[in-house]
Amino acid sequence: MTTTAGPFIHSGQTNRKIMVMVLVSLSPSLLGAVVRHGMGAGVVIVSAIVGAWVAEWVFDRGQAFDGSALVTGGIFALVLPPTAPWWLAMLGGALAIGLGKHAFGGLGRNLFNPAALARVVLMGILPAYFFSPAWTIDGLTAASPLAKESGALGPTFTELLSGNTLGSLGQAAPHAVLVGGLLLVALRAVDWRIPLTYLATVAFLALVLPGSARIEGHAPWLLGNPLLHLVGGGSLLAAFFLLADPVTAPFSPNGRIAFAIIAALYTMLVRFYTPYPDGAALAVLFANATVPLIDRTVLGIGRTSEAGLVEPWTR
Amino acid sequence: MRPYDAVFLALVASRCLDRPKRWWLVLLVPLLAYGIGCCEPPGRFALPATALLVVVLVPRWAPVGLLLAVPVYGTLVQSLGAAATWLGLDVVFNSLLARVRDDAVPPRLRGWPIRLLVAAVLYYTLLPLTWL
Amino acid sequence: MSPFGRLLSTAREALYGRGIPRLKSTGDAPIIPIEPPQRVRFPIGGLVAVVAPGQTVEAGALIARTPEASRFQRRIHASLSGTVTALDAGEIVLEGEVPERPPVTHSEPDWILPEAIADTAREAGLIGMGGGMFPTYVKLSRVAPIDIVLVNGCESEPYLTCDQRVLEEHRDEVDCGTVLAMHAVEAGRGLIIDRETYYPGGYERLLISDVLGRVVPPRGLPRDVGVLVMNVQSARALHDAVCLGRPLIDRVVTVAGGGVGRPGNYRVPIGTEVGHLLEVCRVDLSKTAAILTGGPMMGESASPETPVTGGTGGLLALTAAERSQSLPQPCIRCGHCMEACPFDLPAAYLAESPHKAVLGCVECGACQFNCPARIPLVSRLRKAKAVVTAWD
Repeated sequence: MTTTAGPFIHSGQTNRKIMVMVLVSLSPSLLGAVVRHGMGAGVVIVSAIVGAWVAEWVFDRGQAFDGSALVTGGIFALVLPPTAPWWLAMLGGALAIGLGKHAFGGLGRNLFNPAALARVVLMGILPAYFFSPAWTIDGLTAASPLAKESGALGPTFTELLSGNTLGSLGQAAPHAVLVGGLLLVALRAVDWRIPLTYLATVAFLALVLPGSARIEGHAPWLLGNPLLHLVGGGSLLAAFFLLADPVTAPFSPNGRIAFAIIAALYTMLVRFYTPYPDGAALAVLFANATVPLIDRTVLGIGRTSEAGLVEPWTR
Repeated sequence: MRPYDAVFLALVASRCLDRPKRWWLVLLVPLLAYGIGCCEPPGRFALPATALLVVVLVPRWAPVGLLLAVPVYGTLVQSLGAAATWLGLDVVFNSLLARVRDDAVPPRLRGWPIRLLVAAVLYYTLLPLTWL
Repeated sequence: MSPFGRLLSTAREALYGRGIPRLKSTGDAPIIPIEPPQRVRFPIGGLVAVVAPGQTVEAGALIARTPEASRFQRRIHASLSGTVTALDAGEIVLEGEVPERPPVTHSEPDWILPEAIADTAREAGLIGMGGGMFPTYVKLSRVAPIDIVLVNGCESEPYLTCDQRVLEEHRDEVDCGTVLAMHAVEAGRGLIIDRETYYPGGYERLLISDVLGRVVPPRGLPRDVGVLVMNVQSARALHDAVCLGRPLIDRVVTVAGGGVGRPGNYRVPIGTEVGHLLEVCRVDLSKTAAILTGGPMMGESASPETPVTGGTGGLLALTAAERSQSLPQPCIRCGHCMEACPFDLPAAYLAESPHKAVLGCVECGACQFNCPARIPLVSRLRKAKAVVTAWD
């Protein structure tokens, strides 16, 4: 009875409940990866989660039980190739939490998606584990069905949907990612505007852009069915689990729509005009980088002082 | 050195120095470097001449300008692209750092380490742009 | 609202429900008089007592009033017949008996001048009974052209049902009060809004924009857009004052919450102590985590000595489960506060950094209700408002 002013009732929602919702929504994707790739994938997933949780325990014991480390570890596992060794997964999970989250001051303060950041950092330090020569020809990012297959025929839509392609763990079961993602939206754990706008813009660009694409870098099939761009690569995973993470998304509904459009533009720019096989993970980081600007523009409440821009976000 | 690398080095360098009033003059440097490079066979006076102009234009940000003058710009579009990238990064970098609360960052990472981390993430994120 | 916007909001309601639940369980409980209290107390800050300690007063007699020079005139009348047992600068305490029949000083007049209505409202001490407690006569004096009178029976605060019951049981008096208010300001239209709304839909500004499509400026009043808004109980009190000559000495209060043994809607003399209500409504204090006057969203904590005022719509005894308290966590920028805000304000931002946009906040608490991080947004927004106001 310490509070003297209302509201005296509450929706009952807590940060921890939101994390549990995300974990539940993530589980079909994780299960799908294990079904498709066997126990090896299970080891990768468990290692990533353990790595993330241990890092959380080391950096902030108070936060270690809110479930956010499990979510980050699980999402990080999904952006790893299925052949990743267990120690790489564990290291990446720890990096995601340590460098991606606590380096910026902990939950709610990170600028970039921790899982995407950890993947980029690991790709910088240990590229060999991400670029298997059997998968890609230019070896710039992890293999993906959107990779330019040298001479080989590209996957069909059905193959992509069944997960019968090479790619990160998160691409093993697009059905499961989609089901989990819709669950996430239905539970109101994420804002529906972000995945919807992102996927719609990706599909639209996949219809419109092929005429101008640099054809020489790409397998011709890439220019065909726009559905390939929705299901293939990291599009689904990025839409529901990386971009939609509220911490690294803009604050306002309109800002979130702008943010998703920016992410889709960068994804397709990378896919069509550069030799990179997939742009989804990079697009997440790119869009994250524009968030403070979007917030300032849309909310119109950032202000400038002599010391430079003063961000209202403080506590 | 690629113009892309130079842009990031210049970005980091600019955070070490106070921002002069007419800081935006550094945006002209890639264009100048390209122009002078066109008139001169490489390896003689092109770089020193650009350096001299940089010091005259933005004396307080001369190191930033010099870093932007070092790479060889192949085309006009490339030099304009470098200037545009630098400008965009400057704005984005500022807005990102404004959101980092120094007192929330672990003491060992406070200040430079966290800024370098942000710059490094931006570097890898924008790497595909070099293919355009 | 555009058809597309309506479609979106329908989809949202289907998916996520309608935001703040109504939680009204006493809607069918008829209004009954509360067991009369032996003692009543009236806070009289800013008023001057017109009685002396030990003096005997009749129910309905004037006991305190504002000085002539005050900008807004207020009057307080005795709600029971008895003696003044305590009197100081802060409050008047009366002890005695509540009369069987409410005092009536004259019969229904045949004709009334518009100016006389405002005067009667002033002398009867009528105030906004929806919680605002703003003197009614000020609204009824024709300071700005008014073309429509809205009588607000939405009562969107969860738990509260007193206005709903008054509308059901005393519709004629409310109708009469509405006509009197229209007469006073010479408005051509009068509307009694009794539709079911979700919090904070009954808020004055929102009601005006929903019903009439008129937008009240952020620091303006309804009269700026030609509207007079009054609560149903205020309308009824206006009828009582003008037609029966009865000053404001009682009101209907909803007593509800998990800790209440006899919840319901009670006619309560103004000045009745919360402790008396707790006793006669059998509130189980061992089950109760919070006792408050008003609704759960904008109400305030109460102690047993707190008196019922003209603006007290409810007395709630909430259990720990109803409170659903939890420790504050870091903000995860989920944006639920902004989505819940009736004015689309980014509460989490404004609570942290003073910005003039915060002045549009009406402290309805919808943001805090929805915040999963349990951040005390309302108190922070209040502080931010104070900081921004000091800028001018």
